[in-house]
Amino acid sequence: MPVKIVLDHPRRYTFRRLWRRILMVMGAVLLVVGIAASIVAVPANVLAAAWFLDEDIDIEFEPGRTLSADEVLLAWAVSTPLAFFGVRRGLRLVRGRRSLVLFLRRFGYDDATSAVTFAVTRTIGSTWRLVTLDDAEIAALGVATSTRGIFRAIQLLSNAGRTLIELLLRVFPTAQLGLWIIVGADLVPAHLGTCNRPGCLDARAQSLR
Amino acid sequence: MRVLNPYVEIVATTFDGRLPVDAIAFSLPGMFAILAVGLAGVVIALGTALTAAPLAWVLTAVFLFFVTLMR
Repeated sequence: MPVKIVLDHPRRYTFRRLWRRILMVMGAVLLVVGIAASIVAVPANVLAAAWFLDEDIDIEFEPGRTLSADEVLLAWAVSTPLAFFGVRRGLRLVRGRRSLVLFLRRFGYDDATSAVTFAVTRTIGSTWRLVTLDDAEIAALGVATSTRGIFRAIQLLSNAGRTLIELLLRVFPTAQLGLWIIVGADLVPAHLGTCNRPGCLDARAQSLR
Repeated sequence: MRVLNPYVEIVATTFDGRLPVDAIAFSLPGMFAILAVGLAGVVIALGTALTAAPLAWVLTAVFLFFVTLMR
């Protein structure tokens, strides 16, 4: 089978790249609209389900201003399909159509791996997905530093939250025990008659009577 | 027992949603009030954290879903 090696392709595919950018912008807009619609769609679905069960779903925001059942159902009918369509189509347009490349490499042949790594990071762009055999010499590429930062921040925040909850759960019974110890420390002298606080004196006078 | 009256008042004030700051003093009921204020703070913080945790979990899952898909 003859193989043709192309080092520098003569065509720049200007219109195709421009069209790809336009589609990406359209997808981003559609995605934002879909996410905004999903915020309305979630409560609207709950209210629509209640309406199907013959519940009164009129919402009174303030005296004289009520959101009627018809308006709620209209919001539900518009927002639900828009949320599904917007998120689904928007994501597809933003991601574009990715082609799959299978890179069959020989273990230990570092030059080939370096060439493919260079292509992935510098030249072929995000519309290609490369799949190869896994070993210790190769690592997944394509995760941006910002994305890694987001994951790291989320991990730190979740760890901090878990530590805080564990700390509070330990402090709670200790503080409770402290309360009981204080009450006990006041009750014992009152019972033995060695307490000089007004409440204790009254209790002792009552017991003497 | 009248010995317990100040403690009952502090507990009632706390359960009423008010911090028993007035009862804080250098005495056993005063220390009880300090601990009651601390315990109320722990309950508020725990309630907030335990409410926020599942909410944050859902929001993070949705966020990561979109971030992962958009890569």
